[in-house]
Amino acid sequence: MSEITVELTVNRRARTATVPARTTLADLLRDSFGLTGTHLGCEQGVCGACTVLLDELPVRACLTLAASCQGSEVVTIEGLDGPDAERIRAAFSREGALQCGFCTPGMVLSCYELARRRQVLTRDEACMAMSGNICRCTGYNGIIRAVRSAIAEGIESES
Amino acid sequence: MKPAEFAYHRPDSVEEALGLLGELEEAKVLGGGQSLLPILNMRLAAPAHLIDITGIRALRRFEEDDSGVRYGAVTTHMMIEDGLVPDPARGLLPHAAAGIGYRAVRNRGTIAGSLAHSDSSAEWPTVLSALDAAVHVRSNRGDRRIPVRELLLGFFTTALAEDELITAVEVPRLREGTRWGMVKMARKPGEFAESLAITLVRPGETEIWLGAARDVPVRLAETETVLAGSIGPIALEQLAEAIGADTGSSGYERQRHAVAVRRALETARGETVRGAEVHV
Amino acid sequence: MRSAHRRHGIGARVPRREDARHLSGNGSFLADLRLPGLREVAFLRSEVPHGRLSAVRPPADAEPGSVWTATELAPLAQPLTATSTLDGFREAPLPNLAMDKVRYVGEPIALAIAPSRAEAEDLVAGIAVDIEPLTAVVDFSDALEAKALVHEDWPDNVFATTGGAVGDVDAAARAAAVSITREYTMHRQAVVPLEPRGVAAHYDRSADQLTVWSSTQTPHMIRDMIALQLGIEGRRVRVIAPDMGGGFGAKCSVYPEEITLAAIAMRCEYPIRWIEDRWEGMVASTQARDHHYRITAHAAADGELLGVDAEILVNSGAYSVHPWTATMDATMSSAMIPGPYRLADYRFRTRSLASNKTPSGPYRGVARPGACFAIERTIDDLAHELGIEPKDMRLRNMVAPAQMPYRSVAGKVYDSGDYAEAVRRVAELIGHEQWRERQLAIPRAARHRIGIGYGSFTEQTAHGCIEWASRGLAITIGTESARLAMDSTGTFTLAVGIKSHGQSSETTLAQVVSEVFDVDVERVTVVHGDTDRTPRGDGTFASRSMVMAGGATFGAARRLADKVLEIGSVLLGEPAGELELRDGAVHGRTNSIGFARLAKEFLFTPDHVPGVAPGLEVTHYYRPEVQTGAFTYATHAVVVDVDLDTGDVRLLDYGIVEDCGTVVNPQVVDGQIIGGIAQGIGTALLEELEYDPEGQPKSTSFLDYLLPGACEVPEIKIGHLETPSPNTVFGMKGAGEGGAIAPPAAIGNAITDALRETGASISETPMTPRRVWASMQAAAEPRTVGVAG
Ligand SMILES: Cc1cc2nc3c(=O)[nH]c(=O)nc-3n(C[C@H](O)[C@H](O)[C@H](O)COP(=O)(O)OP(=O)(O)OC[C@H]3O[C@@H](n4cnc5c(N)ncnc54)[C@H](O)[C@@H]3O)c2cc1C
Ligand code: FES
Ligand code: FES
Repeated sequence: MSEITVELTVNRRARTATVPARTTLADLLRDSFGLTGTHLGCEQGVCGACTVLLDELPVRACLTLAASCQGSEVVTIEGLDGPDAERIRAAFSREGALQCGFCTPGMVLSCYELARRRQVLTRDEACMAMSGNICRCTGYNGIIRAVRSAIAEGIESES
Repeated sequence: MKPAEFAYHRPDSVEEALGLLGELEEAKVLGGGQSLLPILNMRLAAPAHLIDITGIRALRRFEEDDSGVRYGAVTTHMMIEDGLVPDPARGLLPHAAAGIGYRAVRNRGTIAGSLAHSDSSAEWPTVLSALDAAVHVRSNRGDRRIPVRELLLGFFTTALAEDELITAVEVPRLREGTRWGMVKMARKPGEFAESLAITLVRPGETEIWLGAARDVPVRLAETETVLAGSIGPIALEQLAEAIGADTGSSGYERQRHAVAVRRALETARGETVRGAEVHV
Repeated sequence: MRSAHRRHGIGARVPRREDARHLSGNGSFLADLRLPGLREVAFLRSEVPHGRLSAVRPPADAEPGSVWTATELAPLAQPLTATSTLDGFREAPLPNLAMDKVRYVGEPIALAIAPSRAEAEDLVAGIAVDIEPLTAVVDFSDALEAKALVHEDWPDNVFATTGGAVGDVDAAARAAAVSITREYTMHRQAVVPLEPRGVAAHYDRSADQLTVWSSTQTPHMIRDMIALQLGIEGRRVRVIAPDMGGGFGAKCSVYPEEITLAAIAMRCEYPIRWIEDRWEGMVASTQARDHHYRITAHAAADGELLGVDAEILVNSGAYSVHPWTATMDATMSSAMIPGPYRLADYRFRTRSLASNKTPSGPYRGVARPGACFAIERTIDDLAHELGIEPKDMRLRNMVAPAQMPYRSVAGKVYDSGDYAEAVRRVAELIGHEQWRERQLAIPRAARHRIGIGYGSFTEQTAHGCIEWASRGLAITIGTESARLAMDSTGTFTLAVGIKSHGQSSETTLAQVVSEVFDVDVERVTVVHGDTDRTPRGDGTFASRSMVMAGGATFGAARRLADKVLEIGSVLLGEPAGELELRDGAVHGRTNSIGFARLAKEFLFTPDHVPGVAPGLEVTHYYRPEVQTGAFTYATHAVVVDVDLDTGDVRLLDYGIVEDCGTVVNPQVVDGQIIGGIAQGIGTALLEELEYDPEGQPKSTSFLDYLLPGACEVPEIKIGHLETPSPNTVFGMKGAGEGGAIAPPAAIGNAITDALRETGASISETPMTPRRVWASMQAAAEPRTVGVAG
């Protein structure tokens, strides 16, 4: 079996793992590091449940090989913290942005990138920006309200 | 599903990559993986070796001069969308990039990967055909420059040999006085196009390219002639007929292409049109 | 809306207690389970729609016990046979692994076990199968013409035919000013919970206990069926449903994978697990809809609906799933065609057809979206013929509050509500008149049009045994359970037989406890989804959880409250009748005692509480006295913009006014409504599981099966009416499915309204741009479309 050893930082902790070369970042996080908050809804790049931050940018963990992450920094839902993250979590709960919770980690991480940009979004823009994350439960109304309000609160916190 | 087994290589230099490509059997280049990984996950392909080129710093560079911009192969859609690299086409490249898939896909997907994948409903094949861009290709056997229009041979088929690597994509500057229009019609944001029309309008000449109609992007020669011969706007039916002649499409597909082309024309000409902005 | 009389009680907008773990990535879904020594399973599935299976050969180098075929499995587990009491029903046993024939793409043939999923798939790739392809039965006409037989020992491809007539439809036809006939098709859909299914199983030799983890809505039912199919005693089987990423009906039937893994685990030294991948989710989870309707309707000149004739076909796929059977959709549909209307003359026939497609099962709304689409589109076309505003046609015919309870022509007993008020209120909510003005103001030369559409329905929820029996089910579902215990620290553990998977039952059921005891919901743990830890219950489906488990919880809480008052009476020295439960304590006239102290006194030192029987725990079973259900109803209203050049449809405004009786938690109810509407929008505009004429499913990945995303669901305006049901505890009615029922009807009506001048008529879902455009083209060519009246 063809194995690789990958060294990377996950949630600010240095990690090393030796895994089959075919291992995706999602499976590395879930199986080697026990970070099962990164969910797999399709493994086709469409649903966004597996979204994590790779070197600060949201990516599909199901479409990224673990091996390609050599030397990179990964943040998963378990490691997402700070004022922006807490505002997002509070807004999600307040606005009814989750039901079963399966899409939630990916939603939160996608929202996090938007919140950090400190840019007001119209409803249409927010929908567009979140269009890469599928939720089968909520019908998105609560998610979009939460995203916009987390962004607004982030901007307010700095003024 | 999980990919079948393969051996993974992560060269640091183009030379090393070319060495691997030259010597390994059943090897595939891995760019951003945003087309290849879904295929591997579904086991629709099972290469023996993957050569990941995203660790090669030289392939991230760009060069700009009077004639245009040359992007390293692993320039991502995001870098173009966010203006981290220059745009020689007055807004067309960032506009096109922003419409590709979703942000998370754009953060990894690369311009060269998209061309090498050769899906005519994707953005770059049509946009870069219209702009007459070219790819720089290297192998142990030597280098060559292939115009994008000649690179794309069919669905998932290109003029690249198995040992060849696209190292850069060269996009010429959009000629002075040219206005562009681009309309992507898709069922949902992030979906591949059902129709992708690019129009380049300059005094005395209108060039039209269409993606998602044939297995490669096509220039609509007949349609251009019909347009050149008409004074004022032409009826949608007439446009549809000309596009049918150019592409062999019929029925709803033809109708959709006609609407995309008409809207792209209106955009390029700066006429107001429902639901689309004007780009000059 | 009723104001909460308890802070955390019924009607309070209590924040969801499920949120924290999901927002931090600490949910525990089936794929997240960590079991020592766990091995992963992958299935080999048929890629042939219909064929004779002559050989299955494991790879030569496969370790013994790593590959299982039907031959090895057969002695260990029986195939599931869904039975029905309907006349002439034909059984179609569902093989655990295909034996000598395959009948749909996705049917399991063999499985492989390996340390990782990837290696299990490697093994599967090495299994050779010989399948001789047979002609596939794909669409309605294939099935009706018996182009081939899906089940060779049947004379045709019909699972069952049902029919009935009430009143005299022919007389209604003679009396009618207008009669129209229309045909409608609601194409096949996948259900698509975002988390795919999954099963894990482990046999503990020392305890002689088989534990099966399954992402299922019905853990107790799965346990029963595993025991029966494996031929072992139920006491040896435990089923656990961990956190679930949605179900919507796809996780509500008993599946071959559950039986198969359970059987094999009993022969393994290690736990085994299978996680469905997305392709499997699209082809091997039950699918839904695939209905065809031919409706003839008769109306008087003043708009009164006189009679309806319905011919209903349902393509139910290859097998009948347990316990719902292949006739579930057809029988539900024929009962829902009369809708919220007074109708005296009704005739129907349904045929449930077998085909070489994936077996059909429940999906949110079960058949009602199709029935609603058919009748509501017809109402609009009738109104158009008569020159009546469609919403007024509805008002004219709806069952009035004074007529409640109303026995519908299909024999359903509508319990309560003001159906017409929902129409009036939703018209206001979206600003009907303003939209009509804007619609008229669009210049004829413009290349787009606006349309308004309504969809009304009434929906039976939380029905009892007789309702399931009337539809032929062998298992009649009608009770629900709750066990409530107060522990020595004065906090509560509630165990229920349902399985919450997005419904927020951990919050809402705690609210029911809080309603009785006036404690913070944080003081109540709700246990669900584990047959060992919960009393027997039927599960979460058919919009029944809140009403049924809520009823059981309320009963348990009331009985436990009596006990607590009794204890309080002794400890406080005041008569129980004068005590009150408030703020986590028992209050008398002068003194009070907190639950923590009370529980400690009673449990540690029962001698301090003489005369009170031991035990601080109550198990209560709830069965509604009236079994005909509580009818939730609603009217949806939508405004669309249709592009005449492309057939693209945009939703400009969407409103719903609904009545689900007493609302337990407004945020949860609104969440269920909007989530349902989003799925209904998917049915209406996007989702279609296409099969080619040879029976190959085509849209089996998320790249080509389009789900609604954030951009496809507008901001939904919601209005509530709150008529308590006389038939349930607190007057609750089910709220889980209604959102999904009317969107295809309302959107179809709105598009047709927008396109009236073109003569186009919308009769198929999803209403893709291609179909909308084609309907305009067809209308432009005379005599090619429209079944005339
Ligand atoms: C959900 C989703 C939605 C998408 N939507 C769109 C869309 O709307 N529009 C669109 O255009 N695209 C879309 N894409 C595809 C995306 O743009 C891909 O990034 C792109 O097509 C391929 O680029 P890549 O770098 O990811 O290539 P890879 O996936 O790494 O490779 C693709 C192919 O190119 C070859 N290759 C890669 N780089 C080179 C090179 N330098 N030289 C030679 N061969 C090479 C590979 O061997 C492979 O055969 C979508 C993808 C996903 C997952
Ligand atoms: S699992 Fe990665 S996008 Fe769906
Ligand atoms: S909350 Fe269930 S998928 Fe989003």
